[in-house]
Amino acid sequence: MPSQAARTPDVDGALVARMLAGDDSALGHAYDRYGGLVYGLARRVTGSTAAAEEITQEVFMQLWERADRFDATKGALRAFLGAITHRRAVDWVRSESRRRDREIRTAQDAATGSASSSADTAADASVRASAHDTAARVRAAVETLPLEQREAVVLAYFGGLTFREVAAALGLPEGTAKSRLRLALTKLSTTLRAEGVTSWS
Amino acid sequence: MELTRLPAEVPPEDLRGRVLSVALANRPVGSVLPEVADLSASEAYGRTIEVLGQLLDELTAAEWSAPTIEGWSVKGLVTHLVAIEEYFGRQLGLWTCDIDESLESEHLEMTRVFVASWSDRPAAEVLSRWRELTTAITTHLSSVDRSESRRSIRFHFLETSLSTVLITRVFEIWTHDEDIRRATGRPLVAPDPGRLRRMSRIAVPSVAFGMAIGGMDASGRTARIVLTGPGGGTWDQALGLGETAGRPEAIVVVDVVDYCRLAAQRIAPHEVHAAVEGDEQLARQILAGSGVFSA
Repeated sequence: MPSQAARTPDVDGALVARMLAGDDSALGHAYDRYGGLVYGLARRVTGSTAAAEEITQEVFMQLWERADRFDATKGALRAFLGAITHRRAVDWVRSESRRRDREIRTAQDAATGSASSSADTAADASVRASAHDTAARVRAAVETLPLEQREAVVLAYFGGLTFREVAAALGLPEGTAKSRLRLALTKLSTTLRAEGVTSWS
Repeated sequence: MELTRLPAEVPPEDLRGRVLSVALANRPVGSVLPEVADLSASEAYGRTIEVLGQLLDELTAAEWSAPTIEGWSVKGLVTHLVAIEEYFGRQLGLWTCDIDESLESEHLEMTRVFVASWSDRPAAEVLSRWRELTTAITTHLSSVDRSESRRSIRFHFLETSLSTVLITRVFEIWTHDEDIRRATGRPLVAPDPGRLRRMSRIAVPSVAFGMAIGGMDASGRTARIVLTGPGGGTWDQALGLGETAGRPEAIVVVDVVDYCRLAAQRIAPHEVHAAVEGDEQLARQILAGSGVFSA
């Protein structure tokens, strides 16, 4: 690190000033300082090392290309990068959950379409149709939740995050994250029971 | 923010290299943010004259007498600028004027006789003559296109393009503008980013020359000079005259306005707030060799 900058309280501001001037070694220093944070946060939210690597690249590319959007007077670089990482990771989780939904629908459509084929037993078709129906009802029930509860459910169930990680990812105190999830689960349970769905996890 | 309190994890070893290469593929080293609009050398000169003109209009009679550099009053310093504009117009082919050829290479010395001969004239007359000359020069420059600004002219010991001479003049006039502000207790005013960009683009490459004349041999060596702030930039600079840049052995980071003041010898190398990485001794030599524009 720069000998003078290391003594300066505003190390982040100095790094960003260098990036604005086109000094790529400052980007390297920023990566050395915050690469672990960005990668770790992305991995926890997405649950995927491949996604975490991709997000880490995107976050530092954004820092390099949009360094002029960082305002040291409004917060630390750590928080700036954390917010970008969080947003990209949550986007990835949502996109992944949509992709999985599509895959399930496609598989179930295929199962329904081939139910009459000789290779498919009536029992298999019945199980798949039932799973398809349950998945659709769960999806519909999740969609009815308020956004803040839906986000928590998506992160916990589609992203596989713990209470603590959901809290961290959403920038909430743990207690708030817990109560959001609890409320969401109660609503889902009520909705699904009313529809005759008793097992959906 | 809570999420940043999560423990960091060690990323895969090769991720750093991938991150940097992807980033640089989209924005190369040395490209500045935000982009600074390209400013012609003539425009840079015109703006500098305009700013100095506004300052001179504000001066009170007492301030014209305030002591400044070289034992001159503010009026003496502006008279020096009058002599330089007379000489500059002569070199541009706009008029003739007598100069002591033996002193042509000495920027300050060649004007001393003229300044002394005008010492009894009132400040208003000095200002009026300065305006007359600078107006004639800026009018002439406004008709000079970019290709013509590449033509070579002689200015003191330099035989170089008109645009380079104009930017050295921007350095000189801005430096004297600051001399007057210091003498009259006014806050200093940094040039706009467009002018700073032009100024830094000639100041940084001149460091090899400054080090050579300062007796510091850095042949075969390269340093990265990073000038921060609007109008700055990043240069991997060969430190031997006429050489091509290699791998930097030191990185010197300085605010662009401070660097220009260093180049104009208004800040001493040891006074510059510089962040250094790598070879610190080389960095000190670079700062010592950066004061190439005396005004």
